[in-house]
Amino acid sequence: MDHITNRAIIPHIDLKGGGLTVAGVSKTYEAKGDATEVLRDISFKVGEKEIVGVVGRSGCGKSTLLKLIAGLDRDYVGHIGLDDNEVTGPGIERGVVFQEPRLFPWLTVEQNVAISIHETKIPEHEKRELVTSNLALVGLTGFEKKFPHQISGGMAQRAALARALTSQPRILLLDEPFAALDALTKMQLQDEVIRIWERRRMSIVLITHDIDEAIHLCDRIIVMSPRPGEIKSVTEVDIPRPRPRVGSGSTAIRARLMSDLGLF
Amino acid sequence: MGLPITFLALLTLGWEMMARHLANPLVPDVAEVGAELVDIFVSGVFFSHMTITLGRVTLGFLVAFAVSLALGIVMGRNRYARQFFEPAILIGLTVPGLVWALLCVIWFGISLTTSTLAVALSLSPPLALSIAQGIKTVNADLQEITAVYRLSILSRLRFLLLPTLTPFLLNGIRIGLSMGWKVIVLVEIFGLSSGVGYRLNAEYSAMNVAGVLAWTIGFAGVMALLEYGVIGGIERYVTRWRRVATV
Ligand SMILES: Nc1ncnc2c1ncn2[C@@H]1O[C@H](COP(=O)(O)OP(=O)(O)OP(=O)(O)O)[C@@H](O)[C@H]1O
Ligand SMILES: [Mg+2]
Repeated sequence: MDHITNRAIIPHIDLKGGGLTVAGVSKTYEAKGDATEVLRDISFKVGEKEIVGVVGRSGCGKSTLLKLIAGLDRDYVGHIGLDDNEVTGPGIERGVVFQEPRLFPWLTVEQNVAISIHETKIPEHEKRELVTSNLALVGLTGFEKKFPHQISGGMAQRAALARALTSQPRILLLDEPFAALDALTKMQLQDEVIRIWERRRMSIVLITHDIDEAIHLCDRIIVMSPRPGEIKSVTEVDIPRPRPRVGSGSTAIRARLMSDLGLF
Repeated sequence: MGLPITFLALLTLGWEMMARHLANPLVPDVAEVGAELVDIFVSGVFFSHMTITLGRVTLGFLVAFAVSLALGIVMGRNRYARQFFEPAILIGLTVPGLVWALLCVIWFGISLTTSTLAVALSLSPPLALSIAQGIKTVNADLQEITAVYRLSILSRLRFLLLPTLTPFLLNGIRIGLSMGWKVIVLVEIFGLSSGVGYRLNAEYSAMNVAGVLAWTIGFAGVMALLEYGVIGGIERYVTRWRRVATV
């Protein structure tokens, strides 16, 4: 593993400065005297407007990590901070998109999207504008009044993205958001995420199984090893955007990622 | 629409044949019952008593609804609450409506408390049970979404809990109303001087079988209207988001 020169596991990370800070986070699930250590001493930073990918085998704790960052589970050791604030629970400055769209089946697309700013104290017409503009951003104009069962899986995932974007988050947390989609729709949505990111410039944490997806989207890729989940390596992706789908620059990175994942 | 009407027509025809065959004053023919029916409708007696009965059921129902929603949610959410209240629900389910009616009349006499309490006591157990079961079907993924966007308790109720509970509530309302009618009529027979049950008892005491039948038919008609018209309408409206299978 010595060939990896850019390991960024810093023993102490200070919480100051913009972006997301994860410092020394460990997580153990306890159930009836049976304890499973899922995450061990995870530390990394996601700078402002950075896209950081997390790849790792199934079960290595990626979703658990995302849940902790989202503030959905506070039972862990270590520190998680966004900008200068310690994360103590969920907050709309962190938009989350899960592997499934998780839309409310009894609400229309626009009602679903509006959920993310339902508790925000801004005038009704501003909320409507936010919903409309974000639906337009993900290409769902014309589908506002449809119920989730009336739209395709790709469109449902776009709606979930629009819901996360509508609260104007500082950081987007994406947990394998395109894993359930066909290859073409997936590529289309990946490019759309880049397009949206170029306009909004928020930070993104992208959890994925897909090495090509990570290389195509991320500034930096964290490889996790399982049982317990630990950071195995951190790889910078310095291919300029727009990145070609097929190209020479990615071959070396792909090879390194695959070796870190233990794939050959 | 055609088949139910055919059934009702055949029932009327069968009744008429039976009445003619028996030629007994205790089995009035269709014309007699019809005349009685026209009489109570035209004079307005039916509507005034029906309104009173409906009001009593509605009041009892509202109390039952509020109590069972709270009880059902707590029981569905908390294992200890469920274990604690389970015996109450079981007792409530097994005690016949007749007993509630009798006890309430004995304890509270001729009052609004009697009718409200008797209806609420008979409706709450099945309704609470239905809601408690519904709460367990709340989607954990969607619950996480309500947490991510920090929805208030009220918004969670509105966007997640109530829509999830809708089929269970409608089912509970159906069962509840059909039980509520039976209880309220009993209460009115035992202890009240107005309402459909009171009128039924009066016609019974006068040995006017045509009267008993006319009141029963009118009553059943209103119930059917409520069931198919009102509840069915609500159901169609609140479940309009459902995917309809095309196969
Ligand atoms: N609520 C829980 N209680 C106990 N163990 C859990 C719980 N949630 C997850 N785990 C365990 O934690 C480990 C990591 O799960 P996690 O869902 O984070 O993995 P993952 O990396 O996201 O996997 P995948 O790529 O398949 O989504 C797994 O071994 C899982 O069994
Ligand atoms: Mg996962």
